[in-house]
Amino acid sequence: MKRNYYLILIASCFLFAACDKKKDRIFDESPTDRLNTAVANAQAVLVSKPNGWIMQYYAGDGAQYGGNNFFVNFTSATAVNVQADYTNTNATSTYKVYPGAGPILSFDTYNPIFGMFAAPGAISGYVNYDVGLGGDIEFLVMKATADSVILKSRKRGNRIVMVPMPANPATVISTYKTAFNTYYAPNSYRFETPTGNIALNFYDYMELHSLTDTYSFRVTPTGLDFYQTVTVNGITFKELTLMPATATYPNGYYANVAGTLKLVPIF
Amino acid sequence: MKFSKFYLALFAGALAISACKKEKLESNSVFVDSTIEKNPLDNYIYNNFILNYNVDILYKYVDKESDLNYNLIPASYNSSIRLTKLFKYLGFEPYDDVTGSKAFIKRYFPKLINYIGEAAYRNNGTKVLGTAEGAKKITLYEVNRLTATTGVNADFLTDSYFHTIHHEFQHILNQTTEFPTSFNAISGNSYVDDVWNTTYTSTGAAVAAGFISPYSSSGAKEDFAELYSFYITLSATQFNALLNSTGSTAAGRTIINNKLIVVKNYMLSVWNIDMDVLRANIVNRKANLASFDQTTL
Repeated sequence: MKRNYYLILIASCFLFAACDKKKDRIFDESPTDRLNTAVANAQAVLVSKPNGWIMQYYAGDGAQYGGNNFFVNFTSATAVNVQADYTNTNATSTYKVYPGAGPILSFDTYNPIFGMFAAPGAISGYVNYDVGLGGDIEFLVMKATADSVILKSRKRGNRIVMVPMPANPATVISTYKTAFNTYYAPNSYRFETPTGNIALNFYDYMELHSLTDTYSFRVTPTGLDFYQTVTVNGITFKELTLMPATATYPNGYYANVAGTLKLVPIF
Repeated sequence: MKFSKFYLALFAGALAISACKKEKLESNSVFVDSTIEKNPLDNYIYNNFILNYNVDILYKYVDKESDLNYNLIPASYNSSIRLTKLFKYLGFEPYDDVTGSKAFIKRYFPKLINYIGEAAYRNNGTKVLGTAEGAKKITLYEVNRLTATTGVNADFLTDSYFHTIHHEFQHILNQTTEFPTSFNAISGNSYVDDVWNTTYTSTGAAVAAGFISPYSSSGAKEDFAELYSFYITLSATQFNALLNSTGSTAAGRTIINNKLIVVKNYMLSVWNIDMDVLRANIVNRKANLASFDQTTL
């Protein structure tokens, strides 16, 4: 009996020795190496565009306050110049890309263009006292290639896309600013569809609210680009095009491709 | 018997075999610190703060060092330069002068200073202006309010930053060597903990009750640090004005002066710092603010 105990003991020792816990790696390099490579790649992609990027920035939980176009130019390994469609401010501050759950792009010193969205409401004057518009200054880099950079804002989880700025940045920026001002000028809007009209108002910032829904989008030189596909009175669309003034619509309007839905400014 | 010894030996042998596993370690760590270009402020901090005082300043936003419960914005580069230079001028150098060397600050001051652009706002309408964590870190808020105008306003600097800095530093001195328990007895059970901001709504009311500020009434440790910080950062005239705020009483002033004697004795006997000398030094530096260069690194 006693012997059996020892036998079991020895057998168990062999079990320990027998188990080799090494598993074949799915990737050849270690996770840290791959993360470091991803950080280096993100940094290289960001600085690779001499004209910078157009950043489709959305603040707040669920991107609820609408979007703005930021014109972001990474001019050195630490310096970044930022302009935006909603303001004439042109400010240079610093950034870094560091490893976290992936490469993280952080605008780590104060920049007034991000500041308006990131500041507590007590400072920015928007929404509530503590959170404000809830804009992020740190972004997880989901994908970084020469034709686009896809970011996810760290606190709110909004999808933020950056596309390269085309040639003649000054002209491009100016058309975006004009487009934004055109959109922002009216007092309110309404949707016109074959089945009825819906009154819309500005609410917290630049987004439009009906009695039941919030519409979040950014203004482009050709019209409006919505954060998500939306359906109004059964008509589904993601973009609306700015149409010139007519006799019926002296201030112009935004329309879907089929022309079945109009977003009409009210002055 | 024989068997058991044999098996025992075998068991030991098996353990030895299974225990030894020689894995070759790589000499290089896989955790590579990313190298970020140094700018003039980085170099200034390295040469003046890290080398001299073993204190680092995080002026760039680092999320894991910041309070994630709040919506915070980073400090601006230009305001950070001003605050960093002023920190040395009004925060560290007075102690260097009084103690005769940089060793005092190097040994006791929290090792990390974190700058945040604006205050941390709570939804109840209050805001956080400064915090200290476990003798390791001081976080200063509203750094972006520091401009060419406010930078030469001595009262603004004291209220916004340096009162907090000296207050928090006093806590750390207290944690190193406790202040005499006789101090606790002076106001005894009149400390009111968390309801200090509703119990005393003005400085005068607090002074009448024997507290230099409403916040002093929250506890003996806070009281001690508040007294210390107000005394050394304000001139004699300003301090007396505080003691004579509207609503104050002579009885309250007597209590405060009794406490002040304990604070002064503690600083002199434990730390060999004469608070009047330290105050004279700080007040003199505040008077010379206009000629102090806050922007050149």
